[in-house]
Amino acid sequence: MTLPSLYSRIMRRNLRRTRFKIGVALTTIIVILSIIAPLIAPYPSEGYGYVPANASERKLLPPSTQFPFGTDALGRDLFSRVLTGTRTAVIQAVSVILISLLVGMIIGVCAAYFKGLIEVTLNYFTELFMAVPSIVIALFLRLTIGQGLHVVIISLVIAWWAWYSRIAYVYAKSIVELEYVTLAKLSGLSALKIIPRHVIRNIFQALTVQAISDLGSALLEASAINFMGLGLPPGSPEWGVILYEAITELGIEAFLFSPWLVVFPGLFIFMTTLGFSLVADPLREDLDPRLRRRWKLWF
Amino acid sequence: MVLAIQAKNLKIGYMDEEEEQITWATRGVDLSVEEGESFCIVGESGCGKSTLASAIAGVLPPHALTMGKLYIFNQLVINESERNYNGIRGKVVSLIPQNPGTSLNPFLTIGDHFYYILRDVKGLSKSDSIKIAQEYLSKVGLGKDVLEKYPHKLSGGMQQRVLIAIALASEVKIIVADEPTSSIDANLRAQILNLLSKLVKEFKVTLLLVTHDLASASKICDRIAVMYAGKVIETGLTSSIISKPRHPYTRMLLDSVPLLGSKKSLNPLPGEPPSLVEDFTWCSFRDRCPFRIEQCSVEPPLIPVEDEPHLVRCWRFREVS
Repeated sequence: MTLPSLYSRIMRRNLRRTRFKIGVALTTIIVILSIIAPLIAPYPSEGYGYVPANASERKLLPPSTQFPFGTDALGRDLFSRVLTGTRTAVIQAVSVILISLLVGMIIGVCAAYFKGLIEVTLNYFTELFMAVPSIVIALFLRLTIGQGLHVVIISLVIAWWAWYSRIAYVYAKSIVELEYVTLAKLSGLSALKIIPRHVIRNIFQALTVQAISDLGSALLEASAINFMGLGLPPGSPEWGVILYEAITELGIEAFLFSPWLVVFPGLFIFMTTLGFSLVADPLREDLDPRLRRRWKLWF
Repeated sequence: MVLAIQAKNLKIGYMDEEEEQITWATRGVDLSVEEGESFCIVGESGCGKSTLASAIAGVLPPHALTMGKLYIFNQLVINESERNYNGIRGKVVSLIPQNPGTSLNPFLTIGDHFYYILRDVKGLSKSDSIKIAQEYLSKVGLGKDVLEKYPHKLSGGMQQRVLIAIALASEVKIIVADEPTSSIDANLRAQILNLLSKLVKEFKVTLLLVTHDLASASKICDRIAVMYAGKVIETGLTSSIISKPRHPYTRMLLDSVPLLGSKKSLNPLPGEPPSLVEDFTWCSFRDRCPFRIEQCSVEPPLIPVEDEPHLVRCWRFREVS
């Protein structure tokens, strides 16, 4: 099935469901915001972390018409920062998922297709990486190669590809036993032709759904890494970093006396994750009929 | 006449997981199929007929062990343990698989199936292969709207007809049909077989039909070989095998299947076929045979029955008929 036809079918079938609509709306807003954020932010340079010249006059101001989300401890407009952070959030989530999907799919399919020693080795390798938590890797990378977006992405990919590899392996394992693969294989067709034509084409739908439903979790984990100060450097337009700065500079007082510093980035993380999950859940239920009933009562 | 397929003492075996013992699926098959004829291999499950078919079609698994010789149009494809199907597989021989449902990729349209195969075998472009696909699909009685469809939208019979069209479209000389009707309803079985035999005659293709159904084999085949425990035990013209079976196994096989229109009682075969793990020198049917004598501890060769092209592997074939 081609991707556009799959897409139109999914849209047609699910648009009637309320939560899918909400999810699509939220995701669309986030994606549009991530593209146009620098254009609509009232203080674009502050969005990227530059401290304004008159910073001492506008530290920790509560939300007002001039600063819709208030200002932070360095006097930067929080609205601009949060808005600019949308782009980082989308870049993090999408690149982590895409790279993990690609790596995991190739390794999983190879394990299922080439049996014997390759299968055993790749499976042990996969299981090894399934046990690794991303934050530990981020800590290690923070200490060895410093801070930056690449630290977040690399550490999450290292922790996540194994799950895609396992899913790809399980699905591909049943596909490679079917006659259209075995006969093609025995006829001497090369693996380079069979794998994309027969194996990946058949497992891609399942993997895509899994990837979409993981977008939200990827964002949460990326924010967690940033919140711990392991990923992006302070001042970066990222929601986790904004929370991290609030906590490091103000401590527990941030919650008590300037809650806008915590509430708005947190709200954006929540809304984005919710949007991704609401889109992904109906898709996952479509794929796995056993899940279809269980969550029906939610909305 | 040119021999399309010629097997000389062909043995094919499979090693088990521990590499301790070998199961010989065929234990020395001698077979010759002439060009343009419809030849049928009949036998029960596990007699090695599917293995023989996949050896001829060139899709033996790599771990299979081979001995003996197999010629396809005078080209040696199996020479003891060497197998070389270059220029034969897909170009001279094509296979119609057993299960149409799992032989078509559910994510490819029927047109794509034709395209990929014709591109690999003949190097055709997409538009050319679609033209050829239409032509062959109309031969099997399917419209060109099928080209755009995915396999799950077709019924089992339609899928099998698509596979027949694909096998014919690469203009091969031999078609190996490995139980093409086993997953099809009885009402469609005759239709598919008649279609197959009609097309085979029309395109002058050699057909090797593998089946366990003696009745359907007798409908469309010129010659029949009956296999038992990895060996051909009787071979001859369809009419003479059906009317005058010389081997006790063939006779019991005929007695155990119903024939439309006759009210004969059905007799099941007692016993089981022998294990093919160990080699043995006695007649493989000895333990189940009601005609067994002392001499049966030595396996008979294929003995020609007088004045007919009919060979039988039984010492007492005269008494059997």
